[in-house]
Amino acid sequence: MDEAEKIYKAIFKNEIPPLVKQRFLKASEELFSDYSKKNIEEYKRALSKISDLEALEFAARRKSRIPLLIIKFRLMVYMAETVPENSRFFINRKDKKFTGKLSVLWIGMKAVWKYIKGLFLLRML
Amino acid sequence: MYEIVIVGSGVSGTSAALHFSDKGIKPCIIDVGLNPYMEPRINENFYMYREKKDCFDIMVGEQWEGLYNLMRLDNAIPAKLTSPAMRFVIDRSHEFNPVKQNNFSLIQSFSRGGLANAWGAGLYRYNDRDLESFPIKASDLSFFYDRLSNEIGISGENDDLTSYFGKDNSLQRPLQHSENASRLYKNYMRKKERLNRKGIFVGHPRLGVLSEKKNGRKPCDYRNLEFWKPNLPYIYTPSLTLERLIKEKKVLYKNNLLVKSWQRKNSYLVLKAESIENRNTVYIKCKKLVLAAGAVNSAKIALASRQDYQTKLSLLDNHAVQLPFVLPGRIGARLETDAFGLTQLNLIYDSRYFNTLFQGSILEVTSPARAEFFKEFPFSASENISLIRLVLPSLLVMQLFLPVSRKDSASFHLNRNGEIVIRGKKKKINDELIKDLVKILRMLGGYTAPFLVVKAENGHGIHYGGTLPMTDSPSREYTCSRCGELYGEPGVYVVDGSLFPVIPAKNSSFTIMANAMRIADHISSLKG
Repeated sequence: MDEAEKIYKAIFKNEIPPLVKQRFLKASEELFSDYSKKNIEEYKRALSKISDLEALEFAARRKSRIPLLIIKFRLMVYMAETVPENSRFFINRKDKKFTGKLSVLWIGMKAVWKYIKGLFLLRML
Repeated sequence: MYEIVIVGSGVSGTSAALHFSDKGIKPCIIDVGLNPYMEPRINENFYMYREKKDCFDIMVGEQWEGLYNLMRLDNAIPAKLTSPAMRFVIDRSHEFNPVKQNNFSLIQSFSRGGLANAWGAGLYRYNDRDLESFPIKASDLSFFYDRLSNEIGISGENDDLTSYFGKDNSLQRPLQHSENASRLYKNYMRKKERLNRKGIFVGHPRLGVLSEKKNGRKPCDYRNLEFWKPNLPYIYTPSLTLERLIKEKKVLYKNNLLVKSWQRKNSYLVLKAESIENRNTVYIKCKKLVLAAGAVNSAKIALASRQDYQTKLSLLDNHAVQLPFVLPGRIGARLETDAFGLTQLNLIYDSRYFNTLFQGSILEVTSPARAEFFKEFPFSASENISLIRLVLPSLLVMQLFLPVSRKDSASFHLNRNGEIVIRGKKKKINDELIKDLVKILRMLGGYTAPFLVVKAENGHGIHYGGTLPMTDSPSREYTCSRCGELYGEPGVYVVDGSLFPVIPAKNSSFTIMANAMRIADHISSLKG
């Protein structure tokens, strides 16, 4: 898997639509050339060594580490939102007030575990 | 030789031109006047459209315009200005007016119609309390407010906020509330007496957004296109008036010209402008000059005309804070895709403790890209995406403007190379005020916390003023008379926000417009 596929999978748990991949790679090439060699190497190391990129990015964001990984996650969200098949990820089309509230509680609890895992992965890197 | 030349086509320039044309005078408007580069062809609700069509061109753009805030996390601009179709509003501004700034982030426009092309269209009258430090009274403006109200078509209601926003007998009915705003307003009405005792008042916003037909313009159709498509017929922008005046041959409009300075020649003035197409210098003669290029550019032209590279002027801007809050009962609700995506309600906090008045706008968040919110949620990526889906339907944002006086102002001067230098002061937001706001929102049924407050960059209030203030008896350079005439420069008038000696915590656009008409009225009454 390349960087686009890995990052998309980490965020959306799905295969990346080809158009999103193409745009993500083009934006990566054009927009992030001024990152330092150290930043780029750290990012590449994270991609090649860590399988749970989502947990790693979460901890990195909280600890202000691996800036290129954090910004590429954000870039992927911008790119992903533009294609019609991804609308379901961003827009709640049906009332899910009961399950929605439960989900929000569950997200809060899950976050603790993910953060601890992310901290561990950050140390491993 | 022109009788009257107006520099700039934003809110003040167009309003002055409107009054001149009412008086049978045909002014010439000199403007850079950039136009939209693209107008997306969407004729349905944006949320329906994006379920069927690829929206890369509309939301991100070939020049990556939509990623502006991704690339500048520490200096994010209002999301509406990052939309590819809105790029023209701020495009090339640092090329036309290079700025070196410290602790300030100036947003400027050289588009036809100015920054108002991307405004929230909030139009509020100043009262005598707001005008305390001004050499004019609310009664001096009331005729012009009424004339503008008739021209624009303002929706709203004479409600609990009338004593703050002024009575307006020509209001169209208010826009429909979203479900979130409707709940909030019901809570306010239930607890009204208690809230009013604490100085808290909630009501309908006054918006230059049509809820009914007017002069061939269609009313708001709740399609959520406010961020993505310029020149929507139901949102008033000065370009609408400008186009009409051009069509009716009531103004002469010369665009692609950037005014640099003026020179005095006996009984007339010679403007020096640069063509933005070929950089050639153009000279324009006039009897009276009306500066309406905005608080920064009008003052820059004044400094350049005197070749003054020493004087430091004050630059005011309302500091703005945003406080997101949720209505817990709405978490997990269906996203209301046909809610009006800008201001839903206004809140006035007339605080005895702070001895001042704060105006809050309560905004729906249906307009911006969902991706704009991704970085605001604190959890892991996939969880943040779930929160975007489940929590955003319950989210509103309160945007609060804080008053600004001259002691809080930024300073600015002109360098010999034509660059302006702005130095802002760090502003501290009173923690007690934020705590009060959290309590107020709680009483209205909203939940938030002080740490969620987002403090806008200095300069991102986009209510600029104070550079060439008007006073009762001007006695020094770079001040103006109450009729807008620049001290020591007969025939040179200022009509924009530069004139405001302070900026109260209330949107200033409507007052800038009415005041521009008041000054145009004075100019048109002069003989010769």
